Amino acid sequence: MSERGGIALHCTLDGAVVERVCDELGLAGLLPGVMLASLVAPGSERKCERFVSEVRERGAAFHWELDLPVAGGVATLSFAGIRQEGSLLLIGARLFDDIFALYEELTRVNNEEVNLLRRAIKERVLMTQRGAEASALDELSRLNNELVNLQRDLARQNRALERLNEEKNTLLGIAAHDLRNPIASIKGHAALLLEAELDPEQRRRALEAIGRVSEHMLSLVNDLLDVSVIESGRLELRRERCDLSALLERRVEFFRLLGERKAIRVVARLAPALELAVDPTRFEQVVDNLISNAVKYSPHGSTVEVELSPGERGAQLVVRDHGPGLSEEDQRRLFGTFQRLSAKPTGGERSTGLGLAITQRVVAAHGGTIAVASTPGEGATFTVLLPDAPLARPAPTSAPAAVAIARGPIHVLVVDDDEDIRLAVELALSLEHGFEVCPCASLEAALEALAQFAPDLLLLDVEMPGHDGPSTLAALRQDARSAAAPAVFLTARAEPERAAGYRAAGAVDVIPKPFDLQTLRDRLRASLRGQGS
Amino acid sequence: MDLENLAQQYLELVLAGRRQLASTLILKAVEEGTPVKAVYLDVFQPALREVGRLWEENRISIAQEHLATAVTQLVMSQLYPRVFSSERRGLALVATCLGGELHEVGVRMVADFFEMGGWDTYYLGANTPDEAVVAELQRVNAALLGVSVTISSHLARAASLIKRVRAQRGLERLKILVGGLPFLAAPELSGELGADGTAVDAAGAVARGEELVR
Repeated sequence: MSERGGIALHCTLDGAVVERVCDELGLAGLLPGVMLASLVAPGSERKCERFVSEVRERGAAFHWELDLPVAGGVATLSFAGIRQEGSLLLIGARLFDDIFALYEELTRVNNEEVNLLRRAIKERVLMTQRGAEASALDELSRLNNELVNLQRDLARQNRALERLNEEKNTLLGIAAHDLRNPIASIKGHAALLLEAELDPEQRRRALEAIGRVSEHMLSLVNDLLDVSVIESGRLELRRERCDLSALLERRVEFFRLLGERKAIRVVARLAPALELAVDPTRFEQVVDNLISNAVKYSPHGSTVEVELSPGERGAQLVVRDHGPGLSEEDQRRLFGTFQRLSAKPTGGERSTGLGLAITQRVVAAHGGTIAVASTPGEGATFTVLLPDAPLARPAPTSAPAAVAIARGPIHVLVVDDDEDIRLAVELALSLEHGFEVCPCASLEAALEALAQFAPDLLLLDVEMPGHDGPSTLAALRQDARSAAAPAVFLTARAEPERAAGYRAAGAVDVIPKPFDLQTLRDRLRASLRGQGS
Repeated sequence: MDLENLAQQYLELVLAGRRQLASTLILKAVEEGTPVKAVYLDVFQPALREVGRLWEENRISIAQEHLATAVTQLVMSQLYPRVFSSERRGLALVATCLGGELHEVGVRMVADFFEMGGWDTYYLGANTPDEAVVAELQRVNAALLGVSVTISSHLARAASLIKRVRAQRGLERLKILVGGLPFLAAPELSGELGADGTAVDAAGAVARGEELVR
């Protein structure tokens, strides 16, 4: 039996030998009270302790290989054990199958306890297998759940994309429709001007109408561009420390004048000198939208209230009107794009249907929130909460080298391949004293013109065939006669990132097209004073 | 076909593992006008409860139970295009489940009911760590958290999750709904855990949730 051979022990829960059920190995020192771990070969003690604790904790353990000292060396035995009430039965044999052979052997001596043990072990083996099956099933369920969750997310996102696409289509449709009307109006007035015999007053009215309608078209296109920039997540805030109180003061003053036409009083209660890190241009857009809406929908003779106060971690802006208010349905749709609500402007003002959508997104980009509270018939209150934010880097320093304010007329060298723009600039600047303009259609023409024209200022188109703004400027800088004149770029694409690039290329200001004439004049003067904005 | 009949047929098909037929049966019923909510409440729910009962009585194997659940999940996912089609209302629910994998299907049903009610719902898998739940609540600016507890021994974990969420700055206004077997027997447990309410089924959960965020 020396090649086979096994051992069966009855131990305490700690692994101390209580009695020797069977020992075919002749293990030395196998006496009651001795710890089994002290009987195994050196190096196997800890493993033996783990085996005992596994049997104790789990009720059964199988296939534990332990080294035991036997006559003539060390034998590796496969151990199995079960816990029975307050004790452990541990069995070791040279091979796992031998454990069962050992049982057979023991059964022959009709050891009732061992019979019980055998039955118990068989049950355990079965249960362990079942347990393994169950945990495999659990694992499958887990995988399945993960898949279903993914599918759920996909279905949700799919739906969101569909909705977005629908919204885009609607937006496009409405935009096309909204642009067609003003174009028809411009076309009509232009035809009238060309064909009909109009007296000066009628001509003026027709031109004013064109101007007004173009203005509206421009704001619609600007709003659309804003929406597309914001929706695509490309809205970049240029935060700087900004005195909100002063900014609001200015805007409130402006809307006071506007409100006077409808005898609307704009009342402001502004906390003094409230500073926050915001994008001033974008914040002004928010302020303008809210106050102009309030004025737009307020009845004659009513009051619009504007309040600025320190918020919990920033500022709180409240704009309150006493207009018709908003139904619950309107309040829900308020911040969507092109939402036509039931309220109508009280002075025939126009609306692009995008203002509040933009406002909400700009506020959100600042990490703030906007909410509306309203009872139909009693006006509406918009509350903006704006948190402060640390500045990533110091605010950019203002434009380079100031140039002495020119005395006498300002000589402006204009380079633009678009004849209409050259004409518009020329008209705009010549209508007012103080400017002298030299319009050129190309860089080559400009270099030629320098022989007769000493420019104080360069006004350059950014997109010309063969030359962009920076390369045109670089070429002009090579010529001593135009090397020092400050340069202003004109462009239809004056997004902040591009504008920053143009400034880096040497422009003191970047004026977006289309521009209104007064803005052009003001900004050219400012550029010459070294205050390009 | 009445719903009881539909549920019976469905049960027979899923127990036999005939997922194609089970799926066709349900999709056809929905196509013919059975509301998705009725399918959830009157077909899936009783069928799965019956599956659980049969397992307890040792009349079906654990493998059959898992299969029945998996088939139901599959059929549910085929209904998702209908579940996610209602108008959004700007309200967000985050739902999670403490307990076994097999019970996830219940809380997902609840989330789907909220979805059909115009909520945006974010379902986190069973046993998502507390920190991940908090992060998701903040990310989606949730108005409501739904916690499903499948067995009583997980109540302590629910309590600690709720405590963790309540301690988070910025989540002071969040409402918390709990549900699951332990609360059917003892609804008052929800208050003891620090939750704002509980309900006996998906429809009840939506009603209670609406009340809480109003």
